[in-house]
Amino acid sequence: MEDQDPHGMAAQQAAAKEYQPDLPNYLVGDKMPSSAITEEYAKADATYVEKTIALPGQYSHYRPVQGDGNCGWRGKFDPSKTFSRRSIGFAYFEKLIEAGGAQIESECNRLIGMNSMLTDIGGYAFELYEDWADDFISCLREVGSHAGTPMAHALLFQKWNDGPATAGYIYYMRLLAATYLKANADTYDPFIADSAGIHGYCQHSIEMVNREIEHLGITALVNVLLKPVNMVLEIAYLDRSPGSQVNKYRLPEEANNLSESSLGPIIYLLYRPDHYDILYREPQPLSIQVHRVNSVSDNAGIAPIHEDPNAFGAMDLASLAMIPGFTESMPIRPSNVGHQGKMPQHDPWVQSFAMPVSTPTPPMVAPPSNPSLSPHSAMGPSQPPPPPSEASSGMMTAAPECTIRFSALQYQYDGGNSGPVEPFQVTTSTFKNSVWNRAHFGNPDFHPEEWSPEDENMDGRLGVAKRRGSKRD
Amino acid sequence: MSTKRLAKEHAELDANPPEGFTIRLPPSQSLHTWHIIHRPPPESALHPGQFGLVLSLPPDYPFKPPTLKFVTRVYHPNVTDDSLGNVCLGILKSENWKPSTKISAVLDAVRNLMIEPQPDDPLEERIAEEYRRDRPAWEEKAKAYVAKYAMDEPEFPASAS
Repeated sequence: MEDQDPHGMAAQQAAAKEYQPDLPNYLVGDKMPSSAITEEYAKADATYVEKTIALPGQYSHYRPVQGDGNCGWRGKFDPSKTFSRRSIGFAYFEKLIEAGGAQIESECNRLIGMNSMLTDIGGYAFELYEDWADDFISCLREVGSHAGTPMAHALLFQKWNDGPATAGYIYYMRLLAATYLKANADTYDPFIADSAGIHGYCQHSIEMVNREIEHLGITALVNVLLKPVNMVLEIAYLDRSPGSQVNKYRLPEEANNLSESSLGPIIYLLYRPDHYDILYREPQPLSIQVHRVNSVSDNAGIAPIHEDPNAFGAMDLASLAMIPGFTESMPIRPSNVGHQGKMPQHDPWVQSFAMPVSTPTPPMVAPPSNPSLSPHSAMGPSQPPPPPSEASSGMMTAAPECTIRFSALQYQYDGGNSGPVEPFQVTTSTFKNSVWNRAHFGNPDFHPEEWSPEDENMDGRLGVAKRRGSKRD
Repeated sequence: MSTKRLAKEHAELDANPPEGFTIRLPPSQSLHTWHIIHRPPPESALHPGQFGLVLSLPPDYPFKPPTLKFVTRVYHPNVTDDSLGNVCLGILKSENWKPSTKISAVLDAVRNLMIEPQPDDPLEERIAEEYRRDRPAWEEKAKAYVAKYAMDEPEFPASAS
């Protein structure tokens, strides 16, 4: 079929080419378990499969990062023009946040001090780069002012996803790298085949927005930005080279022969032929968990509103009513409680759908002393829920009322004991729609539901509930 | 961010405009559109003319190059001989553009282009050919264009883009 429609095939191929593996709206994505990479390569060739299976054991998490080589941050993603400055920049900020506010402040001062180097050695006019330098440094400061709180990471994430701003950060990093190369022209000139030497390389490669970073550019960036703060860059190469694990290489070079424990903070990058993502080695405390704990303890302050035991009773009932068949056997307090319990009587659909909505948000119920309890167990302190045995006995007693005939004998027995037929007690929609419901036309003792004015005022229902409640007491 | 830099560049050029250039901001428009009047120096064949140019700065300036258009017709190998007035300037091509290039450098390039056309990188092949083969004929036509279109203060379109 594809052969018959080469045009469609070509269109599909073109679409595949433009497919963006990363979330296109995020320049820097969310941190994810690196097992996602394993899954991504599950159907790739054996080398990739083997290396990506080993990857989560080496690096627990990763963060997808979009390339910045293509100067358009929201423009078309061009894999051939991606590079690692965004990854390095983001990870550098991240490591500094972990190092704390004092380190950030001294780093800001160091960067400000480098301005004269950019002018004198780099040859860049101050008025050209001052905005980028200012933005970079003030971003670092702002993020640093929240160091030690989850806010710092959230702010960092937000800042590095602001396209126009990050273009400035990244260009500033380019200028730093170029300045470093120019300052060490003697060392690096031999690397440049071009007769223009390092100055020409900076002019034609590093200073252009749409040029890919090369090894030299990364080396320069590491030396100018990371090395002075004792950071190390480790790049894991995921490629077709033989081996069962990704090849690793560290910058600065001397870090390769040292053990990890003797090194400062390490920024891990995952290199794939068209991509640099950030890797993480240790599972840091998941920020999600931090938020959860925070939100519970925040709400704990609200909880004392429910000091009135009746309020808790209402919660109990509402929550329990969500469990099929429980309304029957529940002790109901003479309060607004009854009303909530009553509702499903009239309309099973209200029970199935409206009930959870009308229930207060479970975490709000949690008493301050038990912030970690689940909503259901949180009710414990104020009112123990009926033990399972009681619940089941409640079900048993409910059975005769519903005139479920298990045998002829039972029918007689029931008839003898329960006396006049009690008001119909159905709580679950499943039951109400079954033939066991006497109001169902398929029931042998079919009797349609009747409206009575008392029902409207829930008297009959409450009467039963009261009787049952007192029985249990 | 780009507006900070733009404001700075505009303030500099406004206070100290390069020779032969007048810069105005169109009313009620942001810094992203500039109206420029250029009067080429006497050594240019286009000399007594006044040429209106619209400089448009993209929102992501300086990471994307500005675009430049002539609003005044000019008989020139590097400017389209139509109402669009597209102009070919090397430093504004996206593959050559650097964020560190300033607008004053762009204006310098415009002045040079008006003094010395670049027939090897033309937008109007026919005019480039004439410029190369028969310079006096080109100069004559260029001056005729100046007399016809470029003697008065240029008028800028209201919604210049």
